[in-house]
Amino acid sequence: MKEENLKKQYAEELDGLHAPAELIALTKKRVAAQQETPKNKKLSIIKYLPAAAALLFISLCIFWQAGFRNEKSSGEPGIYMGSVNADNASLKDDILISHASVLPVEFGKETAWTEEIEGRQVWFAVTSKGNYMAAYKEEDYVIVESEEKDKNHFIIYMQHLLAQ
Amino acid sequence: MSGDLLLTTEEIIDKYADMVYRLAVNEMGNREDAQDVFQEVFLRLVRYRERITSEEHLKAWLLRVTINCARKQQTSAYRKKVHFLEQDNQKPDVKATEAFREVENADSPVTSAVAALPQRYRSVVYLYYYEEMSIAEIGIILKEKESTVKSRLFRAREMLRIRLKGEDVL
Repeated sequence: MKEENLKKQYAEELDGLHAPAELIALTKKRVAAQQETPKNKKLSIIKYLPAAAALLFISLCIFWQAGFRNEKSSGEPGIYMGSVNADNASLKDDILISHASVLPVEFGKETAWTEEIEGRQVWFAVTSKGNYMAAYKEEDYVIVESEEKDKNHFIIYMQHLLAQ
Repeated sequence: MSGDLLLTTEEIIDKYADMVYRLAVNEMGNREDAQDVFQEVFLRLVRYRERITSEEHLKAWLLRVTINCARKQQTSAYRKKVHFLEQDNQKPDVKATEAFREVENADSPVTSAVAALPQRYRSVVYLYYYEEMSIAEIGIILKEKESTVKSRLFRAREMLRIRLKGEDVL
């Protein structure tokens, strides 16, 4: 019977104990605030990770390709031609032929001029180093740069080039 | 919501607030610490809500988490007070026990006596006498063997008998 008394009185004492209304209200407020925050931020990050990785990979490929294209030239687009032998003219080995959508600025200077060679209009110019360069129109502008410092030699070279 | 659990979190708080609060007071021995435990339990519920499949599961979960949160809070509070008391060259276990628990008042001798028991006995007493759970059910909630639960219940009764001697209870 004594245990019955223990149980009974224990229950009476605890029955009189209630959670304070302020405590309940505060707890509900905190719970509501916690429910509003993203439940699983990690999941959000994981969800976007494949897309971010793919974007990074594509960017790297683009940059790699852009770098590859520029590798073969020493800072300038073009094809190394090597030396050309012409009658009554000899040119140095370094001839560079490139393509451009517009004429380089050298052709706009006062030292520039044009001539008709093999039925084509050819622009000539002198670089700041005293080298001669020429340009003629195909689909775009074909720029011919040389180490030649002799005007007549260079013109003869261009005549032979365009006669080919 | 999952399974048969159709209550919102707010409805769960309304329904089980008293149960959680009473157990928290029983475990902590004072209302102030019990309030911290109370809030912690329902904040955890937000995180684990989806894993609870029924109201029976919910009640067991709330009881278990309340006890666990109380133990966790007691450990940190106990350590602070033991450190302080050791500096005074006093026996840490006895003094800490007395300093740690507030005896509620003379009007609740049984609750006070239970609050004075070592922590591992208090939850067994509460679940057995107040929630009227079986030894097996208590073992599931506390994740203890039935033999352990029986042993603790026996020792708790003995200690309560000594404490409540003179009281017209035991």
